[in-house]
Amino acid sequence: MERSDIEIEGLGYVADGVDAAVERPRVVAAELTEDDLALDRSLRPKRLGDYLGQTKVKESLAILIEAARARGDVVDHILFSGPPGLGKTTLATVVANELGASIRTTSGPAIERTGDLAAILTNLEEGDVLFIDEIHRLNRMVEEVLYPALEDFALDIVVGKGPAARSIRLDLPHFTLVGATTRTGLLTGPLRDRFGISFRLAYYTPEELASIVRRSASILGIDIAEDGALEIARRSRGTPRLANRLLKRVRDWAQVRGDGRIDEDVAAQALSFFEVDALGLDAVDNRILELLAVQFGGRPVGLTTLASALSEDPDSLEDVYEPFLMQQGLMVRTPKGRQATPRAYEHLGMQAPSA
Amino acid sequence: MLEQDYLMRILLQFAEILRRSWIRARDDRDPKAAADMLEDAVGEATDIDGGTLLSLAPESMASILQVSGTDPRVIEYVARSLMLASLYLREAGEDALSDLRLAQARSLGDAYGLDLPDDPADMPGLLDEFEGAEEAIIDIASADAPAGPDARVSERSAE
Repeated sequence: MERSDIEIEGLGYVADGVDAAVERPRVVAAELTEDDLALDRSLRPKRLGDYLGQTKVKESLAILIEAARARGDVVDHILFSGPPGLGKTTLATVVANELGASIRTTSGPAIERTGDLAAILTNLEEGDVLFIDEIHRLNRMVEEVLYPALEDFALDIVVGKGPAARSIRLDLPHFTLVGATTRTGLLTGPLRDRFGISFRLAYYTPEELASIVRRSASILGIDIAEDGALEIARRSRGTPRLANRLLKRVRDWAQVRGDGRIDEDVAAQALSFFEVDALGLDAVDNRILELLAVQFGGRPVGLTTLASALSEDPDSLEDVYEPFLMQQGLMVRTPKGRQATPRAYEHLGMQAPSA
Repeated sequence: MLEQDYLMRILLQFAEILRRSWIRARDDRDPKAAADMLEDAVGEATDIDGGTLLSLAPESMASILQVSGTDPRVIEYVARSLMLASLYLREAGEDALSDLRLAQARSLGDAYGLDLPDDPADMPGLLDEFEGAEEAIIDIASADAPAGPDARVSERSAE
């Protein structure tokens, strides 16, 4: 394992060795960082035609939007689900732009009280798009207020107390709710049922990501070769946000250690320097595989045991690290615990134990 | 008669809270707490969850209060309280909330044809005239009071 001790913009402090990697921000984390925000603003596609990948979703959205426009109606409420960084927020903005509507953006945890939601709903204009990110984290009381707003475009307000209490219905402008969630399973049935259409975003193929990297490079004025874009794409875990972040890191590396141009070699060297390997795994991912394959000798390992060995909390291990390892076929969950797959052994350059 | 008594009690409470909030803002130099007092009073007087009511867009607030049948004399106090709360919130550095309260007060003013000062900074001057509040409120409460059953009885007796 290459060791490094350097501070780089957007990465935070990069300390020595594998164990220290657990403590530092991950360059391959799909979650939004401060650094991504500015990048996102400049790179986000504005229209469906500019949006690369998710072909089926785009086609369906185009039909929905065209039909609604022809009827002079609002589009049905839309739910986007999928892992972080796949473009749920971008698609919400694209929907609003295609409709020529304003978008109001908020998130589930930000709407703490029913009053917060009432404020948002009563300030909407006819045809607006309301985007609620992490909608699965909406407070249940708030969710109850949202139901009539979604179904009847109305807000029920209780006047009086006790036996004299009555409900007054306030009409709201017709709007489209776009909800985004990384955890569809945590959405309540009633809320899920109120969405007219639901899209599950899939991970992007390396070719789709390479197109995104080339587009971003062109916007940022980065000189990049086809094979350089593809190398970054291959290590981006199927996630555009990550591809854009890695592009920026590789650009920095190429600027300091090379002549600024990014080709396959430069991309590979830069990403190895930042401890992102050929599969897009970082030091923590590799540490997990090493623990499963070496320390625990290939036997099934329980979540809490693995989390303790990694000095991570079980929830983070389950939510942040495991999905990609399982998706890549490097780890499996069995009734007895987590286990490394033959592909994991191959990746680590080890011989898989015989069954 | 009971309704009039109830209304008078609400208006008197409102007047007292306006006075206390003024003391809180000026003597205790705590404009945020003063604004909170007024906002609580608005929720109490209208019998609508204050948190929800005060979050509503200005026009929606006016619509809800109209539909709820809140007495126009109470609305006048609500509007004045919101205007004063706007002044306090500005002093507390909460400009966005101050703007919302002012817009809500003006929306109520428009919906109910109230004569509110253009600038919330003029509100303290009106409070100075608030000496002898009880008499003033009794006047307000009785002035436009709709004729109740007692009034009809007395009219018939006179005939």
